[in-house]
Amino acid sequence: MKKIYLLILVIGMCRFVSFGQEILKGRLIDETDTAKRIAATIEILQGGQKVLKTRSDDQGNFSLTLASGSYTTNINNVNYKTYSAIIVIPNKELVIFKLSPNENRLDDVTVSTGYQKIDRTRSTGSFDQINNKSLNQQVGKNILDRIEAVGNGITVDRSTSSGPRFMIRGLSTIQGPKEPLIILDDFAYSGELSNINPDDVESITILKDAAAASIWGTRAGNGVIVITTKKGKRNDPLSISFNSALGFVKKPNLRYEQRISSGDFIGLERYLYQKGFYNDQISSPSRPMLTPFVEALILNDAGTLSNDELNARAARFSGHDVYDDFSRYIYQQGINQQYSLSLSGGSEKHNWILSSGYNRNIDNLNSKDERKTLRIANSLSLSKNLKINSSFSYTSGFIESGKQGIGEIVSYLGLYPYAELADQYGNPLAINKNYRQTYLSSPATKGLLDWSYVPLLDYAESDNSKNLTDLLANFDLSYKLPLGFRASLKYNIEEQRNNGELLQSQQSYYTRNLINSFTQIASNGSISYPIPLGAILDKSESTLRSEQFRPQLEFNRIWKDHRIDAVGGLEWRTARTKGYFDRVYGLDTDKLISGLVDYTRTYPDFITGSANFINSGSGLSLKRNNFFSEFVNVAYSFRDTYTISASARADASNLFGVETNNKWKPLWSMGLSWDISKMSFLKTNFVDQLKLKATLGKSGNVDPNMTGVNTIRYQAISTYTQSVFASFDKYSNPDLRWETVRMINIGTDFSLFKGRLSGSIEYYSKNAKDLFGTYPVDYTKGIGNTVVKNVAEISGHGLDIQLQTKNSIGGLIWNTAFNFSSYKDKVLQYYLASQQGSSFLQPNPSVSGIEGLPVYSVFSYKWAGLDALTGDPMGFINGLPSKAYNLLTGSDTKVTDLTYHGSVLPRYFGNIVNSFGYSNITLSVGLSFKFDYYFRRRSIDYSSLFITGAGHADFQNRWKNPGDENFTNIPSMVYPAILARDAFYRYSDVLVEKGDHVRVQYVNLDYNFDNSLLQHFEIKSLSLYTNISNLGIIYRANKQNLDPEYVTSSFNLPPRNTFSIGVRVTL
Amino acid sequence: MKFRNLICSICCTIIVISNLGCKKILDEKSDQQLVIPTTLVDFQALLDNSGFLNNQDLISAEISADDYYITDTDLAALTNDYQRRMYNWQKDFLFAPRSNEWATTYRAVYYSSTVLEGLDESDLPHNTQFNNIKGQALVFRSKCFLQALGLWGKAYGNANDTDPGIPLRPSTNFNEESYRTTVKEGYEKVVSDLQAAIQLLPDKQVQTTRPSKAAAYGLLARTYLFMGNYTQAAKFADSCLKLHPTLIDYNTLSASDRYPFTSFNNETVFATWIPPATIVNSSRGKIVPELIASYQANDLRKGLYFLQTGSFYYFKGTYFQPALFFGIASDEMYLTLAECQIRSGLVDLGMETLNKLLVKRFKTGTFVPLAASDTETALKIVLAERRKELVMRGIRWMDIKRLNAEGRNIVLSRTINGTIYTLQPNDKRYALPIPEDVISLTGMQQNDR
Repeated sequence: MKKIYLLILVIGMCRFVSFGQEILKGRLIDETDTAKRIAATIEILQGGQKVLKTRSDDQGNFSLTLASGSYTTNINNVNYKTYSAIIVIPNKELVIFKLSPNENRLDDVTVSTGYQKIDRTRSTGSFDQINNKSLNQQVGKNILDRIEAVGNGITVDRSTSSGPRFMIRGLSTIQGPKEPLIILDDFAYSGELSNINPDDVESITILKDAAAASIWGTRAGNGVIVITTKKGKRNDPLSISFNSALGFVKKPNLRYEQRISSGDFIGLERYLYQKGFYNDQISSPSRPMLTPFVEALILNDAGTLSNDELNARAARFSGHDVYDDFSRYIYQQGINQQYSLSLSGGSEKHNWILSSGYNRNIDNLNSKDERKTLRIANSLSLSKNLKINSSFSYTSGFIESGKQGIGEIVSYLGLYPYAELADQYGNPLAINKNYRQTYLSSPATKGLLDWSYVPLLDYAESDNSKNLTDLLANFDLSYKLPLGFRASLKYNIEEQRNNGELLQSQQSYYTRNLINSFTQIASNGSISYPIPLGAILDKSESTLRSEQFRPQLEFNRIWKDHRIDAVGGLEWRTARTKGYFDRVYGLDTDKLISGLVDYTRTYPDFITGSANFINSGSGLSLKRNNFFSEFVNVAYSFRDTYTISASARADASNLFGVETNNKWKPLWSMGLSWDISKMSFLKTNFVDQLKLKATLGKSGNVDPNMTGVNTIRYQAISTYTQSVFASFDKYSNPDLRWETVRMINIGTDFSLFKGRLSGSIEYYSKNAKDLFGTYPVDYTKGIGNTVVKNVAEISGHGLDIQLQTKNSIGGLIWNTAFNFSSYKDKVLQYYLASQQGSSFLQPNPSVSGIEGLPVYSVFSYKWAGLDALTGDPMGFINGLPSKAYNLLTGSDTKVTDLTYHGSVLPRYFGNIVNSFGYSNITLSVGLSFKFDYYFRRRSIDYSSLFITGAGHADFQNRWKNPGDENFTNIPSMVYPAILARDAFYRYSDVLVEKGDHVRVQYVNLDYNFDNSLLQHFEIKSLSLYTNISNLGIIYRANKQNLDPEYVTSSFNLPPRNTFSIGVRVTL
Repeated sequence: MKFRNLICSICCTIIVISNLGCKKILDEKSDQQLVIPTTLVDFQALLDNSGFLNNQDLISAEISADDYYITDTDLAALTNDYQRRMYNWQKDFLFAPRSNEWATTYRAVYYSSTVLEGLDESDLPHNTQFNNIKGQALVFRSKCFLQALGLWGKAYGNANDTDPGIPLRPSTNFNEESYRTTVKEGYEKVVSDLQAAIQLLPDKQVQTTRPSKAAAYGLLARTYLFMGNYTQAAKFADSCLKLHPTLIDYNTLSASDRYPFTSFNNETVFATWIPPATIVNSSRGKIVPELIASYQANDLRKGLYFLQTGSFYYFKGTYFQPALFFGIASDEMYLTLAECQIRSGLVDLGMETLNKLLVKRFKTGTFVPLAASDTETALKIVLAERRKELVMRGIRWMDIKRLNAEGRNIVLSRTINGTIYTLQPNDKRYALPIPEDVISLTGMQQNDR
């Protein structure tokens, strides 16, 4: 059969030779959206015989060399109806074929890896592409925030106090940098993500498997997210689009904090006072602050305050909650404004886009955040073979601090719950801060600046602002060589400058407090100010400059049934961050005169008398992060049906203290795909596309702490010896090996029933050897109490399912995008000896020490109930109830004695977005869910309650009398508090909860005006939308009404819902 | 063909350039402030990290000793359970896991040992500066070992051949396990290191945070004193005083000052210190009445050392405000010298040495030189003065141990909520328990309590 084809082809060619060849140029465009170009297969037939088969490029362009005559053209693309037309050669004009889309089509046909664009039908790797349409259903300044609600295989882990982190297909490690590698167009992006205007984003691709990520080398350890920006299109008339949104952010729910009530706290203070807990503070020569009620108790004891008055104060304080003051006087509704305008167009040789954006957010604390972005991208064909792409973007950001919220207004170590921020008329009041009120109002402080602290006024005296400027430029010069080669040079430069200024006026508490502490009053009464009167200004600047350079050679060639797509090249990357900070004392902000300060001598503290140096507040830093990489990626396809791919990459970076040979890490991957739908046996009506694919790859992670020698860091000038001093930075860790992850991905992409049902199902398994973990080390060795070691070998596997259904029932269009992932991992082998239970009960989870359990598991101490007589919590030692807390939390409890609950990370997670369209209206609802995981909730901790005054509302329901143990698990209060008792309860199994929940991420309502109506005004499209985000949880497994993603620390409140309205216009 | 050649030559050029370019960028420092310690400047910079080397004396020696007491309410009000347990010499859990004095001691040991190993392995010329740095490292490490032996080991004595001491960490390689050597080996190590340091150090340094030859003499005198080797102790106390004889005339100071003594004052030979733990700080730790009562009327120390609030006295006489000074000062050397002279039978000479110190402690013109007819009387006088002078200097605990070892029968007692807790002479609880987590990580032998 094949031979016959060849013969025909040869005969055909002979005819061209004899009759002379003509070139036909053409373009494929979308009938409904003429700006959209289509890459499709073009078959040319004559007399029912195929004479030529080719493909249009990404811009929809194709050219054919044919002999004069009449031909039938068949154009095929999964997303469009098969198009047939008759063409007559010669034809000197550009032929434009308008294809009409399938009613239900796959949205994107190519995916970008940052190195190349791969046709989805031939890709072997695992990609999740999120298009601009589904990203636009959410509103907000930061593009990455939108991924969680719509991405596949992605979760955001909020189980550690170190902030949220993206996880693509589970964690390979908990060490090292947290962020996934962000690729902006062609290059790794090192600036702040908030610099990117979401309206400039065309699509986001998440590279999920080893084959997809391996092209990015060692930095791909935490996954790769490729952001592709919008470009102008060739031969496109000028198009203008405008988008604006206005959002309102609700005040946070401070009650979520569950703090001890004022009444309970007053009772506690009375109890502690009677026990003499405050005696030390009362007599202390450093005059530490005491709360108003303790002061009242002192006066009452001294006989200067009657019992009636004391009780009256107790009643007043008990009825007051400082969180009401926070709500009333400090928190407000936030307002987000977002505008963007873009112009684009293109001619035959040049296409361009110009876009600008303006964001202004005022948050719940009246902090202002402004961002302006400007971006220009050009693509210019200088000759037939030479093409230049360039883009420039400029971002300018400005952040100004607002009021101080909960956790920021503190009296001494914490804030007493009955602090009064304002009187009954709303006039700001002073609260007790560092020192006792009785001392501050005594004659001893005569001559000093006022030492009171008025929280509601103080924020206005300090002006904290940050300016950010970011410039980014990309150049891409590519030259088409013969035989399918293309050479290109890509260059990227970015400079991001952050300037910070904190001006604290002389009226600010900070400045007054510092001036007062240093004030010297001589015996003759003369006053001197070692810290001069005036404002204190802290300035800081950091400049990031990164350059990347990549010569790359591509090879794309089709011979008959064979096709090779290859790319290889080298990449240099240097990033340098320079920083400095400096402080000016005694600043006169009018005349810009600063004061003189002596940093070399000590001054006795005004209150304690201890000798203090004045902090110079200055310093410099310089950091460099350099990479050099070599890469190659080859894919071979046969008949567009079978594809084999392979990639390899080696990276080296300037790890300090590591020999160059150890800096290199080679990584590789291989893949296969088989497009079954191209097989003749599967030519059925209901299968549009069906592809099987498989990849195998190896990726690796290096711990930046890996070093072969001890390194030290120079710190500062010693005030004692006036010489520089240093401390150890990293300790030689010669046993540390690279962490390597091997990943296998098997999956299928499909589209059925003319695209009504499409999606992908992928199974992956990974095996990570030498996983990094912090390990407790004998600190007799002198290098601290933990080191990073290779702690375990793990295996994990998971399933990512992505389904899209498109239904229409009458006039109703109902589309569903469903992402479901499961991920399970376990420890195969644990290398280390430590079995002490408490090592596995840390604020941040450590690698489980038990083989067969999830890599990050929730453990707890076994609970033996409360002692019926005392309300003491009890655990088990050797199977018997025990109250020996030091032993329970020490070496007598092994990890095998702990209760195992389950995984720290959700084992099932995903999201579902339903869109309902009827006539001009589209309503979208996004839900996300996480199942099968556990978290630890917070409860009362008596040690910290006594010291800081911060306590949990569980205090109220604690064990008080025998019999209470029948309905409460909250231990009794004991005085003095015992640290180990509190630690036992904190990590006991009664505080572990199931994390399962479902939340509503957003609801979006879109109204599209009719085209017919708009044509009068020369408007291409106009839509109005409203959006509500963060609608909260609709199902949770825990009965405490907790949001499992916001439980790790105090003042970590779930975001409140934001209501936005907006308009989108295209001219 | 030609095209293939072109491609080949482009590739070759790129590879050549890349190797040149990559070498350069890969060798750039990732952080300008990072250094691999190889030069004398680097080693001195490590030793000048006074936060880790000078400011880490063992406060537990003072918490365990008998110069102070605290009230029941104050004891209950302590938020640190470990200090409460240490106060009445409980059996176990006297140190918080992970961050405790064992950790800070061995961090300082690591700093010193790194410098010593770095110097040994280097090709640097053995010049004055080289010797100076090596000597400093030896003194710092000896100071750590000596304080650790005093806290976690039993008193040095005849039976010490087998008494477990402390790990001496012969190398900085962290893959080497820690094990305890004997008390005897520990003291021998300190002695030999200090003797080596004496040969290397200059008489004086730019600042007393850096150990000088005088500091090495002083520390060696202290070491021999704890070992009961009074001849050697006298010899080195005398050597120290030859280099640093200065005493402050207390008449020049003002008792009304919150801190009458300045840091780095003229008596300071070697400044090391530690912030007072909450249990002994100047608003809780009350000085025992018997000590207060022992000062005579014109003794200026009572006013300069103690802050009187009502009938209570709190310590304020530190030589390193606001922290407690545990370092070497000339006053200690006079006392050591006097004691050793008396012990060797030179009673008059010893009393003369003691009087040289005391005359600076009394109101001008009021001091009557002390005299004693026999050794025991003289010894009692000098030991009483030693206690009165060296309050909260981290010395008392070790003094009690050595004096009890020779049978002076000092019984410590604390009264808590009416219960009296005593610590009998030579009780095994004089060696504090090593932090339990260290024991569980290393399998080291725990002190029998």
